[in-house]
Amino acid sequence: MVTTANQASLAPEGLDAAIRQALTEISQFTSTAKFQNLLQELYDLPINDRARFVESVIIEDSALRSRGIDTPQGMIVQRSAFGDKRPTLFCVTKYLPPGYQWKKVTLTFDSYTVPQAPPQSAFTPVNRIG
Amino acid sequence: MPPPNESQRVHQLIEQLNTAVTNPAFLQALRDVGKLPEEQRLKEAQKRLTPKALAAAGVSIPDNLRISSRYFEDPQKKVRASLELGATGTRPTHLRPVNVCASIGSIVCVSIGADF
Repeated sequence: MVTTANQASLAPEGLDAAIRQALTEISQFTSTAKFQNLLQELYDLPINDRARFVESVIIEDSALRSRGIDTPQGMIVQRSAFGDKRPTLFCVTKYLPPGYQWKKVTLTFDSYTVPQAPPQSAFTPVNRIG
Repeated sequence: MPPPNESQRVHQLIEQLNTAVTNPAFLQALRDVGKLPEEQRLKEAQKRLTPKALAAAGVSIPDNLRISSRYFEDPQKKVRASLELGATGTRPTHLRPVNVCASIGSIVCVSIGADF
């Protein structure tokens, strides 16, 4: 069934299920033993070495495949930057089916927990990493 | 296997996120921002999509919810900017700092993290 944007906005139950399903699928992917080994390798590194590991391994399909990790169809392993400038490393993204107001969901891994919690809202323009 | 309780923690974050971002008042505000020309959306989001404005509209905003702009790197882009994150301080945690998010792209990302 094709869902229009207007229908979706009137049926949050469908949106709820779509978000839950997409995030659960991402969580299942990142919970696999091989991905967990990758995360362990990442977080065992000193903080200042983690970004380089993300760039050279985690967002490189060939490097992931060499570790036995195949990113599922429809998921994207990518970097991002938040308007509140939290020290984020990478995220796994999945787009929701067309027609919903929310377009995609992510499971995001930050490098560390900052001393001061990020502000509750921060709409500063961000258009690059770092 | 994930660290003990990580999967359960992520599941809890998903439930918290869903409760907030499927609220009809939140969706209405999001729709109103989305109707505007792209160059006006960020400014309108600063007014309509703050926790304070959303709470006033009846949306329950948990303390660990963050609403922000967000840039996603093009995964096909092979020339990437160098990234050096300086550690300016950390809070001790035995858990990985993980969060879940719903997004419409660069203008609005709503994230929930256990460690915010």
